[in-house]
Amino acid sequence: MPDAQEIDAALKADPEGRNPARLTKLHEEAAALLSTAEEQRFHLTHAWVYALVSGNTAQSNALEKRLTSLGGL
Amino acid sequence: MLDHAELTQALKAVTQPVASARGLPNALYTSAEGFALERERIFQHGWACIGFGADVPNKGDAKPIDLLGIPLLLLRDQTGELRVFENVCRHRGMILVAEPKNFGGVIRCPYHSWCYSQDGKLRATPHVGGPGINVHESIDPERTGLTPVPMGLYMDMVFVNISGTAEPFADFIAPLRARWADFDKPLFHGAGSSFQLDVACNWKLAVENYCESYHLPWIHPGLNSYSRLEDHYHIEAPRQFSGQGTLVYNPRLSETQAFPDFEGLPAKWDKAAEYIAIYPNILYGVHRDHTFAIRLDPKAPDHTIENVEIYYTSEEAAQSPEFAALRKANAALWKEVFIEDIFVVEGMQKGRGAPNFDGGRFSAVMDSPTHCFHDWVASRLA
Repeated sequence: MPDAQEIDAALKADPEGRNPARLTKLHEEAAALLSTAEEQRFHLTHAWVYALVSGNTAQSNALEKRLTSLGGL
Repeated sequence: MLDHAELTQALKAVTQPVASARGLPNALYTSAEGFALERERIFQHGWACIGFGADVPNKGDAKPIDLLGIPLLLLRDQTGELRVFENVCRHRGMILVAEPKNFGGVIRCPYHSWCYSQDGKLRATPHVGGPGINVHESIDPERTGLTPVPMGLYMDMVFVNISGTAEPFADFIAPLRARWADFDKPLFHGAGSSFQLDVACNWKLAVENYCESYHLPWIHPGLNSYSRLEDHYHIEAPRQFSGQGTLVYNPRLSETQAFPDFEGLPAKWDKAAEYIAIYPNILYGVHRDHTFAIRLDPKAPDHTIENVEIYYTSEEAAQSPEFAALRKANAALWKEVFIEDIFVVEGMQKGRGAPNFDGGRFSAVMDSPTHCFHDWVASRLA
């Protein structure tokens, strides 16, 4: 599991979102390192957006469920 | 400056019978106001061609299109259906898609990542209610999707009606569809057969020149040996379309190979071909073995891009390596013909700078398809 610095560097390496599947994974990993609902919601929101961009319905549905449970949807 | 009183008088002179009519006034070829008036009355309130199905061949393909400054998005969705939307995020008006690309999922606005599914529905509004809060009562997704633009498809040409007030597309295209019912068959876009010409003239001059055969002996002398002036005939559907036909289509691209013909064509088309201006901005040609479309893209009063696409009767003729050389030769031939017209349309554009040029005169015998187009423009602007 990469650490926060590694995740941050990887996110910065794709500012235009050219690899949405990887960005979803990175944001999920970032959320997993955080403890509060507010912090997790932020990264899961981004993970969800990139799953929608990828067209990965199973993944975007799962992320919507998590966001709903955290009060983000 | 466009003097509207003068314009009204000038347009009355245009709609007279061809023998006594004048052509459209200079201001409609040179002024920004004339260009803006046409943008509204012709290109927004009527049907206009913005591109081709071949521009977005695969599911998920999207192409941004600028129609006289109106940002549009041509999309082939995941079901294969063509759609046109205003290429604008409903949030802050950001352009959604800046260059052609393929979308596997939603279309994401690059500004705040509002996401739209390919049927135009607003699918996500990240952080709209605060960080990590992705909904807010003030934003109703049901009413904040992409703005669809009415569209119609004919012979792979994508037409749109920006205002939504034109007659149904089926009614608009019905007369031409009836005339060319013999060609209501699958078309296959020719690989390597697209090209553009950048012309320093008003878009209308390209239409006017295309409509008439009168100029052929002088501007296209290569045709004289097998398609004489007397082999041509006028085509006029008042206030709909106009152009010319030939009784002598005789392709000679190769001694050993020929494109396959459309199946089941009546004998008339063995040697006939027709060239029609579909008002406002398509110049179309039909032949027994291929068709072409020239989509005129007006950029300024004195600047037009001509986008040329060629279509064939079978997948093999359109795509196979076996026909590549023949396709290349056919495209080159048409490009040469269209380039021959450039100096006259650009010359007419320059002529519109003459303050005492009164729109000109028409040969009642030879210019009637061109006058038909002038009359249509005048009717749209009156």
